[in-house]
Amino acid sequence: VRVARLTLALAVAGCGGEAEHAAPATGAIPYEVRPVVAPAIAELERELGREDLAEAPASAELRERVDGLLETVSESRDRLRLAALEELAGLGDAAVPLLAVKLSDVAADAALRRVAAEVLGAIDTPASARALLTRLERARTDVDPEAWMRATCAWQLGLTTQDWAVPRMILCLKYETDHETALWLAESLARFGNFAGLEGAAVVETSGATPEVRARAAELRARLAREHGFAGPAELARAWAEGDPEAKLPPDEPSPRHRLELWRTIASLSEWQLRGVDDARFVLPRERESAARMLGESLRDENRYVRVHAAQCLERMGPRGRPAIPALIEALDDPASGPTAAAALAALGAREAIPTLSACLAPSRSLDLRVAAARALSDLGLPTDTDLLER
Amino acid sequence: VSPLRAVAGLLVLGAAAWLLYAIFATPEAIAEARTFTSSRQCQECHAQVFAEWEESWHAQAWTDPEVRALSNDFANTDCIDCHAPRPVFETGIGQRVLPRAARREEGVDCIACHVLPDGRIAGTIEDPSAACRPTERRELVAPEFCAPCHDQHGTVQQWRASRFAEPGPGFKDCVACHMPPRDGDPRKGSDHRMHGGHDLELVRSAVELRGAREGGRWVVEVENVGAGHNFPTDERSRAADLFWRPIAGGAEGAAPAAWRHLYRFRSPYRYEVGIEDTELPAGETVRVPIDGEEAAGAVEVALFYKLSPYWKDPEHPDPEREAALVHRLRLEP
Repeated sequence: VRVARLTLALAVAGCGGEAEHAAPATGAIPYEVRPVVAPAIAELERELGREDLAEAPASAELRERVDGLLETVSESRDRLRLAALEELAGLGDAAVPLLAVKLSDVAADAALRRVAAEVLGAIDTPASARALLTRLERARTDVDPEAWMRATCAWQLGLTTQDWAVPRMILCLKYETDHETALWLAESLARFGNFAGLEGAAVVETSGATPEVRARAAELRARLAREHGFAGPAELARAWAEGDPEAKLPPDEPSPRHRLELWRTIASLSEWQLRGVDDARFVLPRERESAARMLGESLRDENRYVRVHAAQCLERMGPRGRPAIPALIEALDDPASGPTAAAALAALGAREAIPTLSACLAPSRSLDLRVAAARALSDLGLPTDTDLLER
Repeated sequence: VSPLRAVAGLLVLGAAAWLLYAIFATPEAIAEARTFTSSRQCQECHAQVFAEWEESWHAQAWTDPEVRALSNDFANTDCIDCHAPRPVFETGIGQRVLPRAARREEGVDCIACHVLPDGRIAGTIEDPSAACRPTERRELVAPEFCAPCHDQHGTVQQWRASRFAEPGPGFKDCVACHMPPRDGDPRKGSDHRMHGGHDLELVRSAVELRGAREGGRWVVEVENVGAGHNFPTDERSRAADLFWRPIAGGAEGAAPAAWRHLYRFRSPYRYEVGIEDTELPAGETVRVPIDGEEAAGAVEVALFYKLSPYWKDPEHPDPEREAALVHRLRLEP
């Protein structure tokens, strides 16, 4: 029945003679497009102030102190360890460059390096999180045999309050090849209320490299489901995909810095090289409903690549992208993003868009839009009266 | 009849004839303007071009089984942008193309390259009387026209860095090699089969394979003599491999020794780390020595080309079964 519906819909959309040519996308948009992404970034940057202040070189005294405290933490237990850890964390951003070097210093003692990651997590500032992220991202560009270090960084990031790291952690899911690290990423993302790592964890559970890692994946999925009040991992995955209809997941309240990171990711949709675009198209659909709202706003951006790819991201996001439905319905009138918006509405299950999608079948609309609208109507389940499509 | 009246009568007759001609005659037949929703429509007037295009890999950009396998049947929707693009003129020359929703099975089709935003057709002539209203657009043959898709892998940048991009007698752009004139005659138009990496003769013309004895060992050279871009170009998919094997001095008809891998020309894909980019830029030469006792005597060297870089058994690659032979060389002391 579904195939028949789609065939009928495509046939109807393909009819209409040659009333229009195949390149109508440069036509006028019946609403205002304007700079959306760039002003949003500028405003948040103003609000947050300068991020990348030049690092002052560490003094010999500070270097000695950090090294000494790292050794104390590494070699001590209980209260002494805790006290040294607190003292190190108390050094704040001044200690970050020294600790960041330790993360990559293969000649240094592994225990000391693990402590350095722990301290960076405890410092819990944008600079310390950036150091952990940079080490975590190493596998994207280099051969990095130290998967244990990436796993440690992923774990420590989850202990911070730096939710702006979420988009970059999601991108690590795309490139990470170590199963253990992927699981730590999934766990840390979940601490920020993001369950994008569940998909990978399910894969690791069935085809992980070792029985131990498969068991750990199963344990993680079950535990996350239990912690959030779901009967099992499948129910948690469904709630995540559908945008948390029962409001069981942590609230979706991204910090200004997280929103800045999201806007920057949206801005990269306009890049010329598809590599960066593809990365953004990976990250944004795995974000939460707040990102869907931002993508919805982006459908009005003056840059056509941002508009088209924002609609694509919403399509890939699925029902979690429902906050963007009104913007997507409006975007059907945009010759550039209209066909993609139609596909996105179908993916979001937006039955409220059926009347507007039906109007898109008119022969006066572009072939691309008519075909996309017909497919979308079929995906949404056609109204019982097939006159609509026949017309 | 007076001569005056005769002249006046002739004048009246002439004027009437002119008036009738002006009213009823059409100076030139003007075809009704067509609008284009499928590349099949182009076939009606341009059968040869269409047949060439249909044979091309552009036409198979959506249907080629290898592409479908690599893109997981386009479940990886990132691939659609270039494998079923909207018209290049819609987004602009040199701008990235956008994916289309309709008639994707036509791949990179006539409409993708020739339809203008106003519905006319970009071509090499102006003809307002033809149904497709062609208008001359020289950008069609500019490398920037190919860039939206092919420079995603750096191919146009590689060309710009080559001697082929230098103005002068040696200048050669993309179409010079990939869309040459039919039968070598520019009056016959360009070949729309758009030969590339699937054309072994073109691949062979890109490189030379040489070898010589230096310091007691064989040194093999591969020079990119003909490609206006890296050999091979593109990331991930294409690879070329040098192999060698000792020439057995045994009995006639004895099985040849197994091929030994010597060198690989390839650019890694974005997921691959720790693999050096070893593509051979235009005009450059790579020299690879063959070491080992077995290489002391006569050896055979061969350059193979692969559309997909992976070997069934990476430990024991079988180039004769899994790759195409580009050049073969016997080196004897």
